[in-house]
Parts: sequence; C-alpha cells; structure tokens
Amino acid sequence: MSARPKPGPAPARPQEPSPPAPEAYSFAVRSARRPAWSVWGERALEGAIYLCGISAIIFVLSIFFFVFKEAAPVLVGGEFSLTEFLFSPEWYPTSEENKRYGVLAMLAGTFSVTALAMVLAVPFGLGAAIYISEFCGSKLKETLKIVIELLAAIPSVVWGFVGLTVMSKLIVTYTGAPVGVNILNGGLILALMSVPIIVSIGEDSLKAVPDSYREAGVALGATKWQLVRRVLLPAAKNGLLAAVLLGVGRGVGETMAVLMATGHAVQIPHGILDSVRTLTANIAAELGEAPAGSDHYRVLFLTGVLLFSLTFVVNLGADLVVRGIRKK
Amino acid sequence: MTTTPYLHRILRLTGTTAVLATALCLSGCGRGEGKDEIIRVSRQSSSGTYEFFREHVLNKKDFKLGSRDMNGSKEVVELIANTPGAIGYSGMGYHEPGRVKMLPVALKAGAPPVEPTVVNTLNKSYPIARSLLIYTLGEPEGEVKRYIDWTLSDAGQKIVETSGYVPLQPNEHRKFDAPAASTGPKVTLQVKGSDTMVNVAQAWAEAYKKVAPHVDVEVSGGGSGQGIAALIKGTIHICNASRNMKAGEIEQAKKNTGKTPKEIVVGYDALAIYVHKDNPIQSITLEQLAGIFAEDGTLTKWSQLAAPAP
Repeated sequence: MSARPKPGPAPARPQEPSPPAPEAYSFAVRSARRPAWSVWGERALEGAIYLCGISAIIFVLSIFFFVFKEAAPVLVGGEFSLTEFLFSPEWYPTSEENKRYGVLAMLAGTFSVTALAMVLAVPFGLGAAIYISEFCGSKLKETLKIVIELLAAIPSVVWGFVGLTVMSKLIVTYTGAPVGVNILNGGLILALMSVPIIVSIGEDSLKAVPDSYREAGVALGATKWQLVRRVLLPAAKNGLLAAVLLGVGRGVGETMAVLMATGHAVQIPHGILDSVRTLTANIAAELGEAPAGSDHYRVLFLTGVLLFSLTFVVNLGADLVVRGIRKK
Repeated sequence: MTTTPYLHRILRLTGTTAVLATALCLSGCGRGEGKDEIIRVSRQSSSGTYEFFREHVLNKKDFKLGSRDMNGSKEVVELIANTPGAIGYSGMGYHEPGRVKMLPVALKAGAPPVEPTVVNTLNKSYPIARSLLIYTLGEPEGEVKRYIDWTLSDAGQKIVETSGYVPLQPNEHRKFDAPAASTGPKVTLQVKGSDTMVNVAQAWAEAYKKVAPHVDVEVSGGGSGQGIAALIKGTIHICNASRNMKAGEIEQAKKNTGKTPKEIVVGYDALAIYVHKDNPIQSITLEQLAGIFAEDGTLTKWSQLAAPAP
C-alpha cells in the first residue's frame, strides 16, 4: 500500500517538458550568468583532463625517444652490426677476446616461454571467463571473482620464487628433466600469472553483451552452449581478443618471474625442458653492471627498443584484427 | 537432455588439447632426458667470481653458452642441491653439507687433488684460491677507516671464519681499541658489491652495530662488477670485490672522482667446485673444468669424465 503514492507524481512528469521554450530559455540565461570563477574553473579542469588524456602519448613518445637515444650511438659505431644483433645466438657482452652481441637465442627464449604460457592460459582463462559469466551461481561467482583478483595481485617475484623452489622440484620429479628451471616452468608460471587477467577482462566483456541477446537466443530455443558459442562469443569477440592480448603483453613483458624460473641460460631451445633466457630478464640482470655509455650498455638499450617494437607490432596487429572484425 | 551432443564436443576439444600438450612434452623430453648430461651452473657476468673463474680456470676464454647463470652465490648452491647432474662454482662460505659436496681440485691430470680447506688455502696448495677484497676511494678516513680497522681486528676476522671463509693470519690482524664513548653523529656507510662476500659483510654490519651503535652499515650485493661501478660513480663508501679492479676501472675511478681506489685484503676464499651430494665423482682437474665450461670445451657428459681415483 505504501507504494501507492509513487504513481502519484509520475503522471506529472510528462507535463514538465510540455512548455519547452521557456524552460530552455531560462536554462540558457542561468548558464550565461554563472560567476567567472565557475567558468574558468571549468575550463581549467577541462585543460587538466585534456593533459591527462594526451600525457599517455607524451609518455610513450618520450620513453621511446630516451631509450632510442641511449641505444642509437652503437648503431652508427663501426663494430656493431645489426644483422649480428638480430640473427646471431652468441651473447658475449663481457668477453675479453671477442665481444659478440647476438640476441637470437633470447628472442627464441621470449617467444617460446610466451607461446607456451598462452597455449596453457588462453583456453583455461577463456573457459573460466565463460563459466563465471554464464554458468555459475551468484554466490560461487562472487567467491571466484574475489579469489581470481587475489591471484592477480600476487607480486611477480613471489611467482618466481614458487617457480624456483616448488615448481622446479615437481618438474624434475614428474618429467625426468635434468634441471627444473626451464621453459615449462617459466611457461606455467606465466600462464598462472596471465590467467587472472584473461579471466577478469574476458568476463567483463561477456557481461557487457546486452541481456536482450541472451533473451533472444533463449526465445529461439537455443541451449546454453549454443547461446555461448553462436551468440555470446561472436558478440564479445573484441573484448575477448583484448583479454588474450593483454595476457600476451604480460607474458612478453614479465621479468622477475621468468628471470627466476627459466634458468637464465643463453641457448636456442630444442624442447620445452630446456632452459632459456628472455630479453627482459637479460636486461634486468645485466644493465646494473654495464658501464654507462659502453657498447654493452647501449646494446641493452637496443634490446629495449626491440622489445618495444615487438609489443608495438603485437598491439598494432591486434588493432587491425579488431577493426577487421568490426567491418564484418 | 539436448546438451549431451555438446558434451562430446567439449570432450573432443579437451582431448585435442591434451594430445597436443603431450606431443609438446614428448618432443621436449627427447632432448632433456638423461642424467648423464652435465648441467653447467654459472654466474651472471657482473659477478667477480665469474671473472675470476674465467681468468684462472678458462684462461680468459669465454664461457660456453647455455649454462644456467644464477644471480647469486647462494642460488648456485641451491640449484645444484636440487639438480643431480649439476656442477658449478661458488664461494666456500656457501657450502651446505649434506646437500652438495665440494670437489677436491687437481692442478692437472696426475697431480694430487686438493680439498678446499682453510689450511690448503693458506698454504696456497688449492689451485683456485683468491683474496676477498674491499676497495675505498682514496685512503679510508674517519668512520670508514674505523669500520675497516674493526673488520681487520680479531673480532672482525672471527666473523670471516664463522661465515665459512679463511681469515687473515693472526699477525696480519689490526689492533682495534674501541674508544670508551663510541658515539657520534649518526653515520650511514654504504657497502656494495660481491655476492660471495654478502654473507660476511652482513654479519660484520650486524656485529659492528654493537661496537659503534651510531654507525649504520648498509650492505647490498649485485656482484663485484656492480660494486665497482658504484664505487666509480662515487655513490658508495666501500666496495666488496672477489676480484681485483682492472686497470681500466682504476683509471675511470681516478678520472671520475679524482681519488685512487685503495685495495685492502680482508680474507681469503677457496673458490669451491660444487656438485650434487649423490654425484659419484671424487675429484676434478682444472683441464676438465675448462673442458666443461669453456666455449671450445668438449665435455658434456659425466661419462666422459673418467674421474681419476683420488
């Protein structure tokens, strides 16, 4: 009964806009008479927000400029060859007889660890996202989301520690590998680290699909699985792709965990039980000791440029794919 | 239920993934299998130990790529303890009896293998013994001097011994008489460098707190190379190093800071060769070590090391 009065004022509403002209007029007058501080304050705020917006561009450009500026002198110097840098697996930055700077082995390391991590994390993460968003009950959903967010909050050095101590023993015991710190270890750790990202972003993008799609699907007699596969997955494609790519980004960029879990050995891997070194781990381990301004120092910055370009290509590719999907 | 056909599809998908994963695994095992492979455990290139090993065992040749390069002396021993086929080098202070064993080292084939012990280090019969050094910019003065004097005193040298290294001979010790009122304005001494010496430097810092409560000694590792780089920049007071500063580095330090680095020996270390505790090998020669670790070395399997009976 208490709900009775509510409909009361409701019919009055449509009457409000009925004399539109005076209403709009009075609003315009009011806004013109705002005090100066309010007008300027608003402009200042707009300016600040504008700065925040474009600061991302400024930061990216200046980081790239700085990194490239540190690396550039080695490119024009006589001894260094870019072909050797990209295609030689021999990394001898502190050799006394013959310094060689080849990052091919570390490129292979980065790619293999990231690829393995994605093979493990993408099906797992997307599956979990679909389950959380579509299949599970609300109570379990809340619990799962909290736990997954907790998983995402574990610092990478802790993951590295887990890889170095727990995982490496398990790998030696169950695979018979001679040493426990290898691609499999790094890949598992990275997969565990990127699953939470894939799950939470994937779940968000599935949630963003309007309920009317689901209702329409159900109305047409689709089963739950048909609904997911034929309606929700295509509708949430962009978001899911973004989730996967952020996972890849984490894989390529992660340093501390892979430094500890992959064994830090410069070699081109022949199987997932070989140790490797990644580009990021190499920079982390060696930049501190490389004398500023030396060739070694500059080549490490060049490695940074390479990493930067890699992520740029991945992001650009993703953007193009997403646009392609949109056009369809 | 109409969902059953889809269950099959899910199962099929899972099956494919599992088959793929197994195939990947097997392709990996094909290479990784076999405990006969020698797993080389080395150090990152900023390490003084790495450079010492390269100079005195590999004769300045480069390391073979593919070794596991650990970021600390302790990590080397830790990895070897978990890896039956591993061999590596680290300071004698990181020995963990029961988990790893230190191999006696022979100068060459036929020569008697020598254990890395205190006696053998002092009489120089152990072939790869070295000095533990600290460097300061110019002659140490004030609180830095007092701290160094203390590390060279009986009390400081006792800590070298308990950390597992070889202390200086008693006649090399310095007298340290703490002034009655050991107070003064608060001072922080920055110490950085060798990972080999991190354990002893930390023990010193702790004990020195009782001798001079107003002095904070902050110790960090990173390797001798990082310590020396920091000394050249002038950002630290004391650099720990398990190798000598190179001529080029001394020049750079002079140019940057106008002071000549001063070298002080604070103890000795027998660079120990560690293997897993269950490894049957009894001793190793320097040539064999070079064969395992050097770029042109050909030893990759334990069976190639017909270890001479000690």
